[in-house]
Amino acid sequence: MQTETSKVDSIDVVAISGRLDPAAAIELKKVFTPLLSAGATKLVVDMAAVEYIGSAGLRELFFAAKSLERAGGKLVCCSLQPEVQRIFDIAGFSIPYQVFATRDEAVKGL
Amino acid sequence: MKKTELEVRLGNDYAELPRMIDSVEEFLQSHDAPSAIAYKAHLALEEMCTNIIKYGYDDANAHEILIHLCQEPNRLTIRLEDDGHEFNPLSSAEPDLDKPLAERPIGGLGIHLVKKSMSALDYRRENGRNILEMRLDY
Repeated sequence: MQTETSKVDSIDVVAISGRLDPAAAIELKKVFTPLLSAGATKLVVDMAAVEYIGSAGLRELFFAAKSLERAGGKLVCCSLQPEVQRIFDIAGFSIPYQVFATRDEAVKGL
Repeated sequence: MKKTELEVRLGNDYAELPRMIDSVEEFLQSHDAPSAIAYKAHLALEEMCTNIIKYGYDDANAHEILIHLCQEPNRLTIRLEDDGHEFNPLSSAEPDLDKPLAERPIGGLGIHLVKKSMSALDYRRENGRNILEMRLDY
């Protein structure tokens, strides 16, 4: 897994690529933690290049989303590949305001 | 009717998971399994083996999980065998997915994802071993 972090106005964007397996989930936590402790409240997770996600990766997204909610902020995901979308659907994570088709829509939705 | 099999032995060590996943993916690719099937096989093996390693053993000894794949036309069967304590993943509680994100408990999510991804699952306890069979029809 690789990640690329950028900023659009007050919105942090983390683009993830590769396999989001249990080992990668530990790495993802290390990417989210400094952003959250630096006071980020709006976070877009761009998953266009994510080929695989399991429960460990979902769990990190849950934790980051919960943490942002407590801070009055919001996490949204965008650009899911079909198989990743299917996992989000069966995990019940696919509610409309959290998943967007494109990064532009995600940024506008925050 | 072509039928091919793969057997992988996995130690109870998270660090061995990627090697096991790689050899399974290589096997499935060589049999032209659809990518959605390879994804589901990856998910099932990763989630179930992680659970066995995390919760299956009452001691700190080395154990072995036996993984057996059987590829037939339009059907993949995955069998997991371990000598951990008795655990039937099919009787585990479903997570409450209707709760708001902030109130939702995390446990059981991996098993839920696997149950919803497989065509059929079967569990039995035999000679002190857990045997889980997962089938993907496509």
